[in-house]
Amino acid sequence: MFNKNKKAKTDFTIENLPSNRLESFWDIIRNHFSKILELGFILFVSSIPIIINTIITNINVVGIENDYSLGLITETDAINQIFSIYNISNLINIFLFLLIGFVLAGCIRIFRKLVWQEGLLFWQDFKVGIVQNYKPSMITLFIIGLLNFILQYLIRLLQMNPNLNGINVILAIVIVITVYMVPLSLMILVQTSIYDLPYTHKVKNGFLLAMRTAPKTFLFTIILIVPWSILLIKNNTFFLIALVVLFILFLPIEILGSFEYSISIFDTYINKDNYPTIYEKGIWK
Amino acid sequence: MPKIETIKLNKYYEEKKSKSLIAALYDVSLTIPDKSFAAIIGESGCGKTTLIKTINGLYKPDDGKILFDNKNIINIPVQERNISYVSQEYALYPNMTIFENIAYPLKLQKLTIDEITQRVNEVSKLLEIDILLSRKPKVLSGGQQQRVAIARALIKKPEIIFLDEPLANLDPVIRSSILKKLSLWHKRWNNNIVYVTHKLDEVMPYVDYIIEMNNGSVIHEKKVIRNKGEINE
Repeated sequence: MFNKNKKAKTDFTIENLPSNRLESFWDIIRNHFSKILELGFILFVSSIPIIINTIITNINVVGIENDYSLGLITETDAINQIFSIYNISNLINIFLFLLIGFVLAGCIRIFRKLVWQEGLLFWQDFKVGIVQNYKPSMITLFIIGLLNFILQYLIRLLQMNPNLNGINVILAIVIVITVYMVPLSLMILVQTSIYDLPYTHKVKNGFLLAMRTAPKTFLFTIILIVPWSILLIKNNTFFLIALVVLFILFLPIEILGSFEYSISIFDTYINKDNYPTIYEKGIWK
Repeated sequence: MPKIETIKLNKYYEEKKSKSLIAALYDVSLTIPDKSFAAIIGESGCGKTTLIKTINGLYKPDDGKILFDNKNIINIPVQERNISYVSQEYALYPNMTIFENIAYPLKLQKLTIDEITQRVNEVSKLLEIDILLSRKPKVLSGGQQQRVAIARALIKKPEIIFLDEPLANLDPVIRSSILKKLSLWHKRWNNNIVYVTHKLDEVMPYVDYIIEMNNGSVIHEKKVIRNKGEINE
C-alpha cells in the first residue's frame, strides 16, 4: 500500500511541467488516465437511459418492419408508425439529456481542476461541481436534446416527403446550428466551470469566440465528431461495443481536449486582460 | 497547546535470546513547556525514538504516566489525540496524488473540499511543494517526498508534532530550509514540536527546549533563552 522506495533521483521541477496546452493535454492523459476513465464511466452510466431508450426504439422499429414484411401492415402504416416511434423516442431523450447535464456538472469541475493542474478529491469535487454547475449544464444539454429532436424530425420528414416546400432550407439551417452547437455548448460548459456569469453571457461569449476563431474551431469540431461516425456502421454488436468505448474512453478525452482548447482561447481573449490570476493557469513557461 | 509531562515512565523490551527484560526507558520524568519547539538529543540507541513513540501513543508504557496539560492520556486512543508523527521512514500512498496524500487526514475529519484545498495550498506553499500537487509520489525525489510527509503532519494543525529525525537523509541545505519553515509554522500556530535528532547544532537556532538522553534516561533538561540574538542555555 505504501511505497518506501520508489523515488526519483532528482527533484521534480517546473521544467517537468507542461509548457503549453497540448503538452498539458498529454500530461493529463499520461498522469491521470484512471481519472479520465472514471469520468468516462460516470458519463456512460448517466447515458444508459438514453442508450436503453434507443435500443427499445430500434427493437420497436424492427418489429414494425417485420410486420410490414409479413404483410400485416401497409407501407404507409409502417412509415407513419416508425415516424411516430422515433419522434416519441427523441422527445423522451430531451429529458434524458437533462440527466447527462446533471452529471456533467460534476465532471466539468474535475476537468477544470485537471487542466489547471490543481489537486482534487474526486468525489468531493464531483459533488461540489454538481451543486455549483447543475443549472447551466442542464440548460445546455436540454438545448442539445431539443436540437437533436428537431434535426431528426426534419430528416425523417424529408425522407417521407422529399418534395416538401422549403424543408431543405430549414434542414440545412438546423444542421448548421447543430454542428455549431458542438463547440458552442462545450465553450458554455467550460465557462460554467470557470466564470460566475449569467447563462446568456456565456452563450454570447461562446458565440463570439467560436466566430472569432471559426476556422480552427471548425477543424476542432470535425476532429471531435469524426470518431462518433463509427456508430453509423450497421451492426448491433459492433454498435454496442463502439458506444461503450466511445463513452468511456473517447468522450472524456474529447471533453478534456475541449477544455484545453477552450481555455487556450479564453486565455487569449478573456483571461489575459480580465482575469490575470487564471491566465495560462496550469502551464509553466 | 499542551504542556507535555512524563512521570517515571518505563518501557521494557524482552531480549529474544536471554528472555531478559531490557529497559529502553527507565524512570523518564520530563516536562516540555507548552508552545515549545523541543529537541530530544542523544546517541543512537539511547531511547529517543522509544520515548516519543511512547509519548505519542504508538508504544504502551509498562509503567509511569504521560500527561498533556496535567491530564493522563495513556488510555486515550492515538487517533483521538490531536498529534502528528513523522519519522525518517515516511510513507506516502503511491496511488494518490500529492494533493490527496496531504489532504488525507483532513478527508478523514470530513472537512469541506474548499477548506481542504485552502489548507493544502497553505502548507504546500510553505514547504515549496505547491507545483507538485497533481503529481504522484514516484516522480518526486526523497527530499520532496519527505516534505510531503511533513506537510501531511502539519495540515491537521495538531497540538503536538513529533518528528523523529525526519530530515536525516536530506542534504544540509534542504534540512536547514525545512527547519526554518517548521520554525515559522511553530511561531504561527503556537503548537508544540518535539524534534528528535543527534545533531544539536542544526536545530539549535530554532529550539527553545532541549532534553538530553542517555541509556534510556533523561540526563539533562534545559530551556534555551535567547537574548538579543545570543543564545543562553
